[in-house]
Amino acid sequence: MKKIITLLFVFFGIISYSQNKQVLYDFAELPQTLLLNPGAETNYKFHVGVPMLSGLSLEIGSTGFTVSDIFTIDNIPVQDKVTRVLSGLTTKDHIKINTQIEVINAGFRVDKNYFSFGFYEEVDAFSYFPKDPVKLITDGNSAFLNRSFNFSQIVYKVDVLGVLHFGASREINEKLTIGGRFKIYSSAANLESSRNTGTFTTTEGTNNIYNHNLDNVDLNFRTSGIVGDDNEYIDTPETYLGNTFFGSNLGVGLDIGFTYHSSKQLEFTGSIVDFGFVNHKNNVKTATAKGSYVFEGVETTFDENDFTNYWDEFEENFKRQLPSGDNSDSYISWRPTKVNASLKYSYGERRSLECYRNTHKDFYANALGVQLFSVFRPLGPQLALTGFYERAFSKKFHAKFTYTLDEYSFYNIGAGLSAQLGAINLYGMVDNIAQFADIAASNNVSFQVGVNVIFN
Amino acid sequence: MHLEMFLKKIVVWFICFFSMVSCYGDIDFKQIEDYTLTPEIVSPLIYFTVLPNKFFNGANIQQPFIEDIADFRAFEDNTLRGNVVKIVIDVEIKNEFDRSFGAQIDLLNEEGEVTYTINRFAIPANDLNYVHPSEEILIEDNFNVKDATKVRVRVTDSSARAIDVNDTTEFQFKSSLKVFLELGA
Repeated sequence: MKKIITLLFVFFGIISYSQNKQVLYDFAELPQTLLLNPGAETNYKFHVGVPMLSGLSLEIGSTGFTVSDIFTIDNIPVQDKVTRVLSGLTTKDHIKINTQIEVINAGFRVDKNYFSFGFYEEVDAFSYFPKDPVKLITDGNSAFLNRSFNFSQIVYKVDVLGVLHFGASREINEKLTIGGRFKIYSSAANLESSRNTGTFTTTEGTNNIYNHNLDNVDLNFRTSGIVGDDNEYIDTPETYLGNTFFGSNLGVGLDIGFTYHSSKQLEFTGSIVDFGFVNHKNNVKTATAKGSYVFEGVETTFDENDFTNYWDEFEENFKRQLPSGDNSDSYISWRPTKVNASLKYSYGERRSLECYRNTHKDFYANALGVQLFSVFRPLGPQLALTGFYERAFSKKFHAKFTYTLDEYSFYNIGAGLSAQLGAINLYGMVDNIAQFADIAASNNVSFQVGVNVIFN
Repeated sequence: MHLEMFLKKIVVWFICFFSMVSCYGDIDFKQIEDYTLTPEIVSPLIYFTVLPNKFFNGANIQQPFIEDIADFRAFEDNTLRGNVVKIVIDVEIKNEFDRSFGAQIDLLNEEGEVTYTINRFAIPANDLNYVHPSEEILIEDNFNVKDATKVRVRVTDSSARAIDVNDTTEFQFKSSLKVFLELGA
C-alpha cells in the first residue's frame, strides 16, 4: 500500500504532460518540427537524425499539487500533508506524462518536396483525479452518509507504443507549404478507463440501520498487451519492446499541417497531429461491472425448516443484479489528437540563407509571435497559449524564448537553442525555467534534446 | 573559433542544465512510510422482524427463544482481515410486545465456536426505540474475532407467559457494523 501511495504521488508529481512542445514548434527549421507540423518549412537537402539521440523529449505536469507539497522536509506530519493535498484536489485535476525517443529520423528532398520518415517510441499517460473513489478508500463511508461516491470520475489512459511514420511536405509556392504524415501505431501496452457511470451511497435504511446503494453502475477497465493468452501478466520487457514494432495491436494516424506567409514578415502555421486510433485485439483483457444493487444487510428468517445460506443468497443476488467479469473483446483506442497554430511576425536585420540547389531564402534576425496548442482529452480539450521571441544570432545559431499560459502554470518560461556545427545540428530546449530553483515545487517541466546531421 | 567554442559550451550547458541547474528543496520520499490510511466503513449487518408465530415450533408449542445463524464472510477478505483494528456493532430494536425480551449476539468461527459474544441485553416491553450502547471490539484484545464466519442471534422470552400466535405485534431488529482499518502502518 505504501508503495502504491508513493508511486501515486511521485507519478502525480513528476508525470509529464502530453506534447506541448511550444519551444520546438516551428523553431529553426529543425527536422523535429516536422513531427509537430508536417507542413513546416525546411530548406535543406537531407537530414539524418543520430539514432536514439535525434529526439529525446520528456514533459511532466500535474495540476493541484506538486511533489514538494507532500515530500518537503518541513516537520509537518505527512498525514496532514497528504490529507491537505487530497482535500484540495478536484475532479478536474490531473496528471500527465509524455516521453518520446526517436529511434530513426531521416529525410530527403526531391525538388520542392521534402520526404521524411522515422520511428519513435512513445509513452503517454494521463489520469484525472478520481476524487470520490479516493475519498472512499482513504476515509471510508462512515462520515459520509447520504453522500454519493461517483465512479464516473475514474478516467485514465496509458499508452506505450511505437510509431512508424512517413511524411511529405511540398512548397506549393513562395507563400504556402503544406504537408502530411502517415503513421502506423504499434501498441505494446494500453490501459484505459473512461465513460464509467454509477454511484455508491450509504443511506439510513428502512428495514435496517443502513442501506448500501450501488446505482446505475457501468464500469470498464480495459487493458491490452498486459495480460497474455495464458491469463498471466506479461512481465518481460523485451516482449513490450518487441510489440512496439509491428506488434499485433496496430493502428493508423495522420498529421496534416501548413505554413503560409501572408507577407515576407508575417507567417501563419497550423497543424493537426495524431488524428488516429489503435485497434486493440490481441492480449486484451477488459474488466466490467454493470447493474444496480441495494444491500440492506442479511435478513434472517428464524425458520427452523429453512436453512437458508444467507451469505450465498446475498452473493448470488449481487452477482445477478450487478454482474462483473472480464472479456477479450477488441476495442478501439483513439490517440490524443493535438492541434497547433501560430502567428509569427519577423523583423530586424534581413539575412539571406543558402538553401538547397543553390537557392537562397531571406529571413529576419528577430521574430515575435503567439502559438496555440490544444490536446483533446476525455473531459474536453486542454489549451495552452504561448507568446514567443525568436532570435537568429547567425545563420547557424538560433534561440527561442517562450512564455506559456496553461493549466499548470501562468508563468512558464521556456528557452531553446539550435546550433549548426558544420553538418552537425544540436538542439535543446527546456521549459518552466522559473521553477528551476525548486523543480519539486513545479507543476510542469519538460525538455527536448537531439542531434541531427543536416546537409544543405 | 570563438563562436564554435561558445556553441560547444552552449551544448554542454543544455545537456547538463537540467541536472545541474535545476534544484529541488529538501525532499524525503520516505516520509510516505509514515502515512496511514484510516478508513472507517459502516455497513448494515443483520435485520429481521418477527411476529408472535415465530415463537411456536412445528408442533405449535411456544418456545422460550428463537435463534438463527447467518454466514458472515467479510473477514475472508485479506485487506479487511489484515488491517482491521476495531469493530463497533450497533443494534436498534423496536419491541411492540407487551413483554421484555433478551437478545444475544454471538460471533462464531467455522467450527461453530464462539469467538466473541455481545452479552445478553434486555429490551423492555413496548420499547419502540431501544438503542443498545455501541459494542466496541478492539481487535488487539479480541484477536479471535477475525476468525468469525457466522453470526448467531438469539431472542429470548423469559416471561413464561403465553403468546397469542395470531397477534400481529412485531419485534424488529436492526444492526450495523463499523469497521476501523489502518492500512500502511
